[in-house]
Amino acid sequence: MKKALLLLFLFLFLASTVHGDEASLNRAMELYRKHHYQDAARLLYQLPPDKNPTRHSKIRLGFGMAALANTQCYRELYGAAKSVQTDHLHRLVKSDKKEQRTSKLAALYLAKAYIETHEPTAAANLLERFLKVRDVDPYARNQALAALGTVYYLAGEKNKARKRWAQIPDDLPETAILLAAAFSQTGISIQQPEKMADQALGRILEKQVPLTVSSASALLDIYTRQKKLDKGFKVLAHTDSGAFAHEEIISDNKVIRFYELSLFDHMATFYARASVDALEEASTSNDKNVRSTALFYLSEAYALLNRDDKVRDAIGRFLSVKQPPLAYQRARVRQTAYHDLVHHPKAPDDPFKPYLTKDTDPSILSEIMWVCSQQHLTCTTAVDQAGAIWQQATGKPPVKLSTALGRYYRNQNAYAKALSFLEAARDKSRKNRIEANSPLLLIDLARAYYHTRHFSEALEIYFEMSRQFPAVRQIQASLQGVYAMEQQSAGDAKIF
Amino acid sequence: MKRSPIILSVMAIAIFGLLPVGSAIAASAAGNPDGGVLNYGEYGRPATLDPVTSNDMIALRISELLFNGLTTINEKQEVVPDLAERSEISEDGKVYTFYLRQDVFWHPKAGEEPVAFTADDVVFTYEIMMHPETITPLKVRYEFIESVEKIDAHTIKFTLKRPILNALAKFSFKIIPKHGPENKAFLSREDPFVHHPIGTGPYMLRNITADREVILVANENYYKGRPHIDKFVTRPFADQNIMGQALLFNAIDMIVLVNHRDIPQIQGDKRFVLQPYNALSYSFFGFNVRNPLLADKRVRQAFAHAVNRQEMLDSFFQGQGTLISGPFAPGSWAYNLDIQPVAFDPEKAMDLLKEAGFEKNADGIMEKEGIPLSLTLKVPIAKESEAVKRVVLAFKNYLGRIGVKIEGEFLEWMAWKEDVFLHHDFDLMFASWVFDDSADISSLFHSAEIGPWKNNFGGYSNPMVDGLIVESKLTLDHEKRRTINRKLHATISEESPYLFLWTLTNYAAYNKKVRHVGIHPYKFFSFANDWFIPTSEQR
Repeated sequence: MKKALLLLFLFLFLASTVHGDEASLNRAMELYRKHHYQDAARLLYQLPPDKNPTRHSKIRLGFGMAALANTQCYRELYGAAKSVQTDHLHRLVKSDKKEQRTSKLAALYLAKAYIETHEPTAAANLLERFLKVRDVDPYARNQALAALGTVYYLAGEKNKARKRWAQIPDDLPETAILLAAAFSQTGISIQQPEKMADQALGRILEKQVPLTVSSASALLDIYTRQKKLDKGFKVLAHTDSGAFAHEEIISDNKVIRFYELSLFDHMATFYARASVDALEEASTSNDKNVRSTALFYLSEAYALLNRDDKVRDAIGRFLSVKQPPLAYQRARVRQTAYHDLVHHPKAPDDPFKPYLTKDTDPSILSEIMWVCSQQHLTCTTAVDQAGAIWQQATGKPPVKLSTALGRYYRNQNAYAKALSFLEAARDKSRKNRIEANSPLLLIDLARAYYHTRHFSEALEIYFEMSRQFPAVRQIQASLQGVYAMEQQSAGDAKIF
Repeated sequence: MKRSPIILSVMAIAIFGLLPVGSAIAASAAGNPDGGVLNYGEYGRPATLDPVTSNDMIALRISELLFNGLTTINEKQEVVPDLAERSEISEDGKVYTFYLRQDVFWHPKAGEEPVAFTADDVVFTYEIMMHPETITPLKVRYEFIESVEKIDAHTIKFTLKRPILNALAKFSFKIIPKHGPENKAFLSREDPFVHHPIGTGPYMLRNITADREVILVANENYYKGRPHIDKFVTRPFADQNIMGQALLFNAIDMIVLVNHRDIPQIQGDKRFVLQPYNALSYSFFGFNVRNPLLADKRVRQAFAHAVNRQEMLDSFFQGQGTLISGPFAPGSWAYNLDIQPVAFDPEKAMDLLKEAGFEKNADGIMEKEGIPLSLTLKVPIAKESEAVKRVVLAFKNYLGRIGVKIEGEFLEWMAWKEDVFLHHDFDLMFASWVFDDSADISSLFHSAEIGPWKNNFGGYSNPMVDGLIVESKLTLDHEKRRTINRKLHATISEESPYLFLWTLTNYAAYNKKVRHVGIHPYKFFSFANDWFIPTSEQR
């Protein structure tokens, strides 16, 4: 459906007269079609407001779509990174007990990963232990203090939190950012975290020193919470998102790099907010088609921010505009999910059964699969029906259906099964290229390959993906670490 | 000191993951029909068929059907028992004791009764493999073994010089029979055994036809149970395009390497399954650094800058691959992500050549001390697909633009191997390496691997690289090994003993009539005893 809406939008745009901004929009949508979402968003963000309201609404719609696509990618990459990094850090911490020359920082980064996976107790224990270690990098120590303070504060232990934070010097911009992020995350507005962040960022840029990826992640979080998207874009412009956060030199031939896992989450949320802002604006357009398209995407953006009330509202508004039958049905699937099922204590096992007939369109089934995946619903009848259509397809099964089934099984941790569907969806002639395959499909494939221990397949995908999404570097690095430990081979090489 | 028997058995269970391999496979395959012939296409013919002297993938694939190791890797990439039904490891990690299966027999020689597999065969294999006169790439991989000792007919003990990572996986080397080779001391390519081997595997060599087809038949006494498919026929094709056409016209049932140009067609044809199976390979031009003109790394670096590899990849392989920057593939854990592929920069190439003392002569060829940069490039005909021909032509043109003359020569596979690996009679060669996932490049770049039939065919030698390779092998620390490999990648990339090109995923394609197909990412046929063809589709 998204593709249909996109095509409609492109048609509407191309049918209008050529204008400077329109040329940029045209270029941006071409980038979007090639799945170069970051480039598309960047290009459209830089355009000044257009005096023509319809044209302006189209630009906002285009930007909202590109930002939404970035959100979806970073959200999925965040899921992949959490899994791989936690695995790698776990092993590092475990192996440290056996090795003489150990990593000190592995514990800190594992604790930070625990925070991302919502395991505050495990994080606090590790951080406390880490703070007892001697001769650690001062910035790493300050990171631990900031994180520990935040964990304590959110657990209601405010005095303990303040004691930890009080040990952090705020005279350096990097440490001031750590404190500002802690205040921002815990809602201590009296400390004016945004102002602290502004001052620290100003000092860093004034001194022309590189903005570290840890500082960038924290700043992005602060500005997103304050809805200061312009400042967020400024941070992104100064960030090398593929950079490591720490390099620990244990010996000449043992160097370990650590990465900022939270960056993915903060980038996803940042783009989601940017998307919502733009799509809300576009949804008030005078142009019915722009309005309608914006509302559909808006429902997706709100879903990624877990704003179920807003999802329902956007879908309701979408349905109130006259829609073609297929678009209507798809929207109804989403409406059903958010009206009747989400957070419902007794959601039925097979919620979409009443919607299904033997003639249900594969695109409707795909939509159902997506909703089921997103909401972790068990949708037996729809899955069976989709599977039967997939099996009986003459030639290559519909890509959307294969992708949706693959995602559904991936979400159920049935990775081998997921792979067969995802591979069927993949264009193998350019199998790792995001221009030929949706980045979301490739991330699903990489995740499924990782969990089935086909590490080189996963690494290949991330290798290509890192060209458009440099932050993927951190997944590559961790995956290489796990692969190095897991590989079981004799050590062979042959002429091919 | 040894562990207690209880600990030992617990450890053995842990190591082998409680996998009664034979019975598990038999159960999974129960009910599937026997019969049928599988014709598969190869892009060349193997020089030898034994697992010791061969160094190409064609032979590796066949030997996977003919032989077994003490251990093997299952479809979940775990080490599992094969000819050894269990193993014990000493506490210090230096002594490995293997308890051998007693139900394994060697393929019978014509008119003879099958001979039982015993510990003598394991000792024999190790000794012949390590004999100084046996030329094998395996030697460098097994230098960590100090001694092997037969405890009894079905128990064998390996003592290692030091504990190593993934030792059990390394015991997957294939065992050959003591009664196989004529020469019991060392194995040469002249020994009849390497052309007509006998093994313990699911298939037995029946004959090699006049067309160089290798005919393998099911081993009725295979210890895991008779394989389902009656016959495997290896059909060599000199041209990948013809091999692809043979599949599309049902002349063969499987091809092990799909021409990239055929991918869209095969992908859209519902008769076939297109399966990627190995991401750890890359193509390169190798330099013979014995040639004084190529001994200067600036010359080699100049070549790398002179060639627009992205353009070649896009034009000849439809952009399907990825440019690489060093001796590991991007899908490897050892790839150094900091190192970028050398940029296309002909001006820099010229500067480097001038810096190395070259000047253009009257014919427009760069020369130094009167010797022109005129070089031979040898390419195996087995790889003479259209794409490779174009790569060679483009390479020649790119280098022509900086005043380097290249004479391309396409040679039959075996003749090419002799020129490159035996006689070292080349200046440049084109080839691809394929790796298992150990990222072990010692046989390619260590100076001890220079010599006839050894993999360091270009004669590259750098004490620092040697040191790093050795240190990487010695360490038990994974992160240390990663760091060392990153350094190796950076150093070898800078030294350019190869002009690193690109990695292309390898695809197999097979007719859907072949069922239950699992393909090992490196050895390919490891699980072929489980494949079957429904009776109605057998021919």
